[in-house]
Formats: sequence, C-alpha cells, structure tokens
Amino acid sequence: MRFKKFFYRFLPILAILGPGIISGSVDNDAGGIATYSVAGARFGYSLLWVLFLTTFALAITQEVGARLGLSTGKGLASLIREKFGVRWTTFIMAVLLVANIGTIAAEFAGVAAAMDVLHIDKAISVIVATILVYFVVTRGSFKALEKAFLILSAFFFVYIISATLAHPDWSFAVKSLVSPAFNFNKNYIITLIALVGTTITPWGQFFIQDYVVDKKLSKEDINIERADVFLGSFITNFIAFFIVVACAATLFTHNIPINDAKDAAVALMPLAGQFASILFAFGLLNASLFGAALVPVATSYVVTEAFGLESGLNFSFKEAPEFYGLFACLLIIGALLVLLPFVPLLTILFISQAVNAVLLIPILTFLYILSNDKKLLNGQANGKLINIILIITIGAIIVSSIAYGASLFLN
Amino acid sequence: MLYLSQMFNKNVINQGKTIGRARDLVVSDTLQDPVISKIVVKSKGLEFVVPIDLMEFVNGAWIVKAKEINKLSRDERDFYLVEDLLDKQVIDVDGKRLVRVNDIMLKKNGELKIEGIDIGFSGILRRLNLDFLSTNMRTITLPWSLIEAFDYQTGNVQLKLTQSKLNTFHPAEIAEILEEAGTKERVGLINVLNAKQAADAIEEADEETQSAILEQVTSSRLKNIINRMKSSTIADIIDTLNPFTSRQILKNLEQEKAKGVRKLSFFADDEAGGLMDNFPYQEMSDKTVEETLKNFLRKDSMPEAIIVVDSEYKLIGTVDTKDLIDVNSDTPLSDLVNNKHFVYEDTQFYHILKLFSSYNLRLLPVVDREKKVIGAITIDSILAKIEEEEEV
Repeated sequence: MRFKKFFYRFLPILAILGPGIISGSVDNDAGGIATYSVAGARFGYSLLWVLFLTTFALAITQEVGARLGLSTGKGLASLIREKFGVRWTTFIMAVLLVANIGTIAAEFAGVAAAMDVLHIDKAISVIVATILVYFVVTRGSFKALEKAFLILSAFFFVYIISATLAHPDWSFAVKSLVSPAFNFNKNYIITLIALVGTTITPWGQFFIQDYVVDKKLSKEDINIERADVFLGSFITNFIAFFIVVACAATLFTHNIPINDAKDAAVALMPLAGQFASILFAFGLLNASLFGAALVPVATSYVVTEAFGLESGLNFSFKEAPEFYGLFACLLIIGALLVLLPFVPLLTILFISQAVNAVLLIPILTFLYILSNDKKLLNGQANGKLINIILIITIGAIIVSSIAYGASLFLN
Repeated sequence: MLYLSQMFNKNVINQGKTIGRARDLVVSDTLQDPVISKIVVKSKGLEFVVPIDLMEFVNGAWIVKAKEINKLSRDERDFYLVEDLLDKQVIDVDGKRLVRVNDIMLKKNGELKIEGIDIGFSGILRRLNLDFLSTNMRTITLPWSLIEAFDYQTGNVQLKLTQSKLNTFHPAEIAEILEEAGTKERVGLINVLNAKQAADAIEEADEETQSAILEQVTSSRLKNIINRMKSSTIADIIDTLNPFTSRQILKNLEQEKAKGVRKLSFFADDEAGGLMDNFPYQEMSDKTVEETLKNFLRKDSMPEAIIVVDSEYKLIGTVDTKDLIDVNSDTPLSDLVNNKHFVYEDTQFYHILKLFSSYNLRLLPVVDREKKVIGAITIDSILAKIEEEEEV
C-alpha cells in the first residue's frame, strides 16, 4: 500500500493508465490473431498499409470514446438513449448484439482451434469453455481474471522474436506500411475489411467509454487518458504488424496455404520449431478465453443498462435476471455457432471480424454526432482533425464494403 | 391514461393541412402545478412554441383551434418534457435511487397535467409500438411528487418542494446516487445539498467518486465541504487528485486541519496512522461526568467514547459515552476508564482489527512513543477499510 501511494504521488499517470491499454490488448483476441495471420499468409506485406492507417483510426475513435466518458460521466449507450430516444437505442443495441455474438463465436472458435492442436474435439472444448466462463465470471473475481490476462498477453511478444528469426525483408515490410496498394480482388477486399473490423470494434467503443466512466476519471485527466489510449492503440498494431510479418515471412514466402486456424502456428516455427503448435495453442487459448469472458459480460452490461434494467455482477441472479439471462444466452448462442457442423473455424474467426467492420458504420456515426455536440461536451467537442479522421474512417469502411459487393459480381 | 410517447412526434394540423410535427411538451411551473402550457412545433425546419390553449389533441394528431397561430420563442426557464425528462435519469425519492424515465404519464382533466413517470419495461415496449407484448407485464410507475428531475442543461436538481425531500435520505443513499450519476448531475446534486449533507454523503462514497466530486465543485463550495469532512478521508485521496485541486484543498482547509491532512497522507492506509482521525475528543482525567456532559452540548455530534488523558496529555484510557449516563454526576472520569488499549501510528491493520473484534471497541486511541495521544481510530474507519479490501 505504501508502495502504491508512493507511485501515485510521483507518477499520477499510474493511477489512470489502463483502459486504453486493456482495450487495445483485448483487440488482439482470437479474431485478431486469425485475421492478422490470414492477411500475412495470403497477401504477404501488401496489406500492411491498412494496419498503419487503422492505428490512427483506432487511436482517434478510442480518444473520442474516452473523452465522451470523461466529460459526461456516461456510457455510450446512455448518451444515445438520452439524445436519440428508445428507437435508435434499440437499433444500436441490435447492431451491437449481432456484432458481439459474432465476436463471441470467434472467441469460442479460438478455443476450439487451440484445443484442436491437442487433438481435443471442438464439441468437448467449447462446452467445457462455456461452462468454465460462466462460472468464473459469475462466481469468481473479474479483477483477478483481468490481471492474469494482462500478464499472459505478454505471449504476443513471441511473434516479435519469431518474425525476427524468420529473416523477413524488413525494408520491404516497412515500405509496405506506407505504400497503399488496392487490389480489386474479393478475397483481398474482405481481408482488408476484416483487418479494420478486428482493430476497431463495436464492443471496444462501448468498453473504453464505460471503463472511463467507471473509474470516474474527470476532465482534468484527459491528457493522461489520451496518452493511455494512444499508447494502447500503438501497442495493439505494433504487435499486429509482427504477426503479419511473421506469417508473411513463413507461410506466404513458402507458399504454404492457410486453411485451418492451426496452420497459423507455422509462423512461430522460426522461434519454437516443433513446439510452435503448442506455443500458438497456448497464446490463442489465453486470448480467446479472456475475450469469451469479457465480451458477453460487457454486452449484457451495456444492453441492460440502455433499457434501464438492473445490470452488473454486483447483483444476484434474482435481482438482475435479465443481465444474467442475456449473459448466458450470449455464451450459448456463441458456442452453438461454433458447434454447427460444416462451418470451418477459420471462417467464423475471419468473417465475424468483417461483420464487425460493417456494423461499425452506424456506431461510429452516432459517435461522430455525439462528440460534436457542444452543449453535451462543454468545450470538449471534437476538433477539425479528429472529425476528418472519423469521417475518413467511416467513409473508408463504406467504400470498401461497396467495393466488396461489386467484386462479387464482377469477378 | 395518456402517455407522452403517444402525443409527441405527431402531426400538427391546421385547417385540414398538416403543417408540422409536435416535438415537445412544455411545463412552465414544475414545482407546484405540472401543467402542460406550451407545445414545441417543428414546421419546415423551423421550431417555434405554441400555447397549448390553441391546440387540441384528437385521434393521434394535434389540431390547431385558433385562426391565428401565436408563435412564441423558446424560454430556457421552462421544462421540456422530451428534452429534459424522457429517457433521462431521475431520483426516485421513495426508493432512494436513480431510475430512467421510459415514458411520462399525463392526465387530461380540463388541463393536461403530468401524473407521473413509467419506469417499467412495458414503457419501452410502448415506445417501440410493441404494446401487444406487454399485456401480462406489470407496469412500474412513480407519481410526479415522488421524483426529482435534473435540469439537463446545468445538471441541477429541480427541487419540487422548498424543503427538499433529499433531507430524508441517509448520506449513504445519496452517496450511492452520486456514484451512479453522470458528471453534471453529480455536481448538480452536490450543489443542492447543504455543506454538511454534502460532506457526509461524500464521506460515504467510494474514493473514485470522492475525487471526482472534489475536482469538479466550484472553489467556494469546495472550501465549505472539505472543512466538514474528516481529515483522514481527505488524506486518503489527496494524492490521487490532480495537483491543482490538492493545492486548492490544502489552501482552503483551516490551518490545523491542513497540517493534519498533510501528516496523515504520509502514512500508509493499512497502518494506524493512515486510519486515524486527528484531534479526537479528549478530556482530563480529573473532569467530572457533569463537566464532560456540559462540554458535549457545545459539539455537533457525540463521540462514542471519550479519550481520558492526564495533565501531561498522556493517555490513561477510554470511557464509553453510554457509561456516563447512570453514574453519579461528580464522579471523575479517571474512575470510569474501562479500556486501556492503544496502538502506535505504525501498528498494522491486522493487529488493529484484532483489538477491535476481541474487545468490542468503538474507538481506539493512537499514541506516540511518549504515550501522548495523536489520533483515534473509529469503528467506522475499520468498516470502511474492510469494505474497500473486499472490493479489490
């Protein structure tokens, strides 16, 4: 305790640091690992420029969310409800539910893929994981889980080492970061969309704002909070860069196809050799389980709160039946989607991220309107640069979605 | 029963022609008589306000009765039902919590008057035109007299009675509302409480809320509040506040208290020094019961136990206040001392907790190496500390 106080006194940043970095780290979840791996394995370095641009888009959308939370003390769902009423809230909640069910399914697909490496059938691993997550979240301590996750997410640094050991063409990789190349091929476009959707996520947008509100951060903390979300966004995409490079230098260069999530483990071969699969499985399992716990809780919290129902883990089942009911439903639906026969895990992991991107369009639109409300934000409304980046982000998602639709017909 | 959801966003018809939509209903006097006095109409992109006497609500549309529409401009002192109340959080005075307004109930009895608010899920379904799903659902409503709404411009509470109903709230109940409310509403609520109520409520709130409030209230308000708060509470959070607020607080505290806060903030909060309050109530051992009770009359609150010291201010022990009641009024305090436990400022929480539970203490003196009293730990601080540990 004395230690903690000492640090607060000299480094007030430590008291606040967190939401941006946590939300950034969770972005590298099962869907993230899968999407980055596919991008690197199938398209080499040619999608890295997207990663470069989404770093700024992520930093800005997170900054806007954090600023809305700091300034109003209210979550995104509450603000939409108060400003736009019940109908728009219902619409946005439906959007969020669809996006998050996809994300939850992706997390369970990650669990299944990880356990598949150990030859455990997906029916068993997914059912065990569902039950485990339900009980850990409702009976256990969420804070302990959060800490364990943050420590274990150090796993991602193995990608940095592995990428280096694979001797990639660094100058080409870095050049690719800043040289946009658009390829009118449907697989290229959908991968591009998935890359955006796995980096900037609908649930992440609600999460950052709720977290800031929960911590009761105030206007005076804005600069520290900015540093936090910028750092978080940078770290997220810094790691994503190495995942893409590691996959490009191993799978893409040697023309190894990626048909199954566990094929992505090849990217860790330069570091771990024959243990690559085990290492990959461990990292994927950690990221997936945490996501599978966090996303359904966060979703139930946001949805019940938006409709004025009791919400939160502090209540008992009897006091907040809708909250726990929704939480259980989300887990079960997510798990069932993975158990559907004939749907490859990689497809779930990947497509859910693209769906996320499309569903970002309405959510970012509301974010844009709210964050330009001068009355609401009291002198902390968006500046020009932020508005431009938000509009470009929304526009880019719309354009690429249309391009994807067009490519389906033309190719 | 009429509902607001069925009356706004409806067409306004003038001589058979639709001229616009009713966007909001306006109440001029929310305090005594919540009667709808005006309607906000949006017509061809323009908004104007019309007195309600000129309109009539018939079959889901507003019909203009008058020949000439008397257009008024917006009055910021008015209360706008859609803008200020619908979908917002209000204080449920009876349940002592924050609730969200799903719909507003109106009654037509000559005038159109607010009856109350609907906070149930059936209100949501009605707004979505899904009423048929709610036939078996219980509607949950609150009468207008039992809620306090916020002014959504300023966050201030619209007190409906001169003597606020918030007086019936326990500080802990207000604290819970403060923890949940948005930034503006939180400050608005603090602003309608008197300084003592505000300080008590802040004491009961969690540390994050305490910091948020102290950072946001105006400096004159800050001064009044912090001087009524316990030094130990301020000391616990002063390092997490932004440096400007910390300086403001230390500058505005009475000198002795500021010194105490500075001193306490250097102790770890799991040691006696970090848990204690300074300047506990002390009496010399030769004081009689009668003199002691007389001194009490000059205080706002009665301590649960009195610390008894000798002429050199060294600790002798404590006397439970309840023991003063049925003894001879000229008994000296030294005869009544029934507890001689004490701790030093660096004693660990674990040992302190043990003393409290083994001897059913209410108050435990903290002394320096010369046995001079430097503070006291109350059972309240112990409970607060346990609560805080539970949350981690």
